[in-house]
Amino acid sequence: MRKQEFTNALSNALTGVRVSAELRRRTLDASCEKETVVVKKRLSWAALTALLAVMACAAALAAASRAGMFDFMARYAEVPEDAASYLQANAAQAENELVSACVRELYYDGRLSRMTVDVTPKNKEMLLISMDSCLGDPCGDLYALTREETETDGRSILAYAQANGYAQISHVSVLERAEEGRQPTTCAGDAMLADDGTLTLFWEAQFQDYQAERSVKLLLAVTPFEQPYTKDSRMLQEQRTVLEMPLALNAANHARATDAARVYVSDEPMLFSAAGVRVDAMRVEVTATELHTLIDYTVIDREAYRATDDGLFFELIDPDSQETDYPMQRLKGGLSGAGGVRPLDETEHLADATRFRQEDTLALKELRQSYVIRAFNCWNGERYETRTAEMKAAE
Amino acid sequence: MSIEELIDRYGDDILRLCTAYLGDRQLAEDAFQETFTKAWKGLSSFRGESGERTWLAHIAVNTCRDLLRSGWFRMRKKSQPIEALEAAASQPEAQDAFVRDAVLALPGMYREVIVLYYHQNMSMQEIAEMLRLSPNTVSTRLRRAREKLRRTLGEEPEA
Repeated sequence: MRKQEFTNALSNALTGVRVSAELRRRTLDASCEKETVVVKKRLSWAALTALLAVMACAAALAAASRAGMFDFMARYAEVPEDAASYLQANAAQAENELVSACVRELYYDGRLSRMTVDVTPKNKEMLLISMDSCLGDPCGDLYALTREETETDGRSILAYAQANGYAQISHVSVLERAEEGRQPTTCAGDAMLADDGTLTLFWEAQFQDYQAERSVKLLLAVTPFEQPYTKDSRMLQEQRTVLEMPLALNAANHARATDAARVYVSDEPMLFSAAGVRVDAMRVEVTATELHTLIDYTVIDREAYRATDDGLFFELIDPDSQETDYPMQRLKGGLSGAGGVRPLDETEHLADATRFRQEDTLALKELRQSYVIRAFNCWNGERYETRTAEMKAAE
Repeated sequence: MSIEELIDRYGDDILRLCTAYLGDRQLAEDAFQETFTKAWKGLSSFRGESGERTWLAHIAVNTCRDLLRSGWFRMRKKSQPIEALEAAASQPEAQDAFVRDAVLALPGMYREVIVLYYHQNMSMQEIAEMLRLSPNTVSTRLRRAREKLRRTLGEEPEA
């Protein structure tokens, strides 16, 4: 195939990939974050008490149709049976002239914060949407969890708004910022619309370091779409208002004391010669809803390690698995499903470092006395050595 | 130049680069967002030694590499196949989609050189500098990538 033909074919196949209005907006939001004029409205105690009373009534009326944290999480992970007992209810409330908001459910285990936030418009003619939604998207995604219809509603959000008499449409975006120390590295979210017009946001943020207590601010930005509405209506950033909700995260509120203290370690060095590294230690921390695993390793053969082209990872596998596909042999992942590799010395660049830590999560049921660790190359799928780590309770 | 102008002028191209590189909509959008955030923060230090497009592509490639290398596996939620990104009116021809899928099926180390060489029209020297590899390594990877493509497509793209 001639070079130009190949180039054209590749380009043609990607022409449908375009920057959506939502992606453009999100990128602008992220880029201009520090320039945002934040509209702060802190509530007085009197106002807060009144708001709580109103919200308690509203919650009683509407709770049946609102999505809970585990409704969202059950979409992609196995939820432990007693997970609900670790949630803190009504952790914070705030309001401004457009919306009132309540952190209805909160979970924090020292590394992960998760919450459901109800955002209720004060004007019943205002439709709130969030996350990746644009006016041209199917409206069925808005309320998939809160209604019983099994048929997907293929109408656009714009058509839905017009059919239901919404005169205004605004977008709600979420940002979680630590008051001090490191900012969360991984954030994910989802949103559902309840029958009464309340938008329930599911939000998850992961921090790299463990802190039993952490002060954060949850920022909710409400941005109207430009009228007249079309499926490509842009958002009026200059009219954005931001609701600020301080939250005191405390792992002790969410995890059983015994769980929080359960840490298992293996400090017998394990050699992975083919990948040029030695695993120095493995650590498993038990939280209320998942296991955090940490594997520390050192490069001992620079040549062999370089040959992995920074593609070295470790997978924890089930030694009894009958699966033939390598990834299918892995132990079941944790709820947060996130992990990564970083230099142990954080002043070092990834390319120059010699000591690394790989972090990952496992489902609670995967707590074991020993773990089978296999090294692999994420670029080409090549598998290296397999070793077993015997775990013992940390002193 | 403002961030809006950068996105409007080069956004589609950078998103396509990230998509071809990562083969996943969610990851590509994450990389896109991070690329322009980094670009905006670094705009004042942009010295114009290369064109804006090359400069942005450089940031995008490093961002994609970091995403793959650091392995922040976001395997769940809104991960969607590339087809989901395409408007119905712009479905690629079968042969074009076949080429794209063959490229996406390549291991990452081969895919990146193919994308940069054929999709971004970069020279081997430019790719070597961007990826901090020797030109020989780039040449070897390109050759092996073409061999792999030949097995899938039945023919090898011309060098």
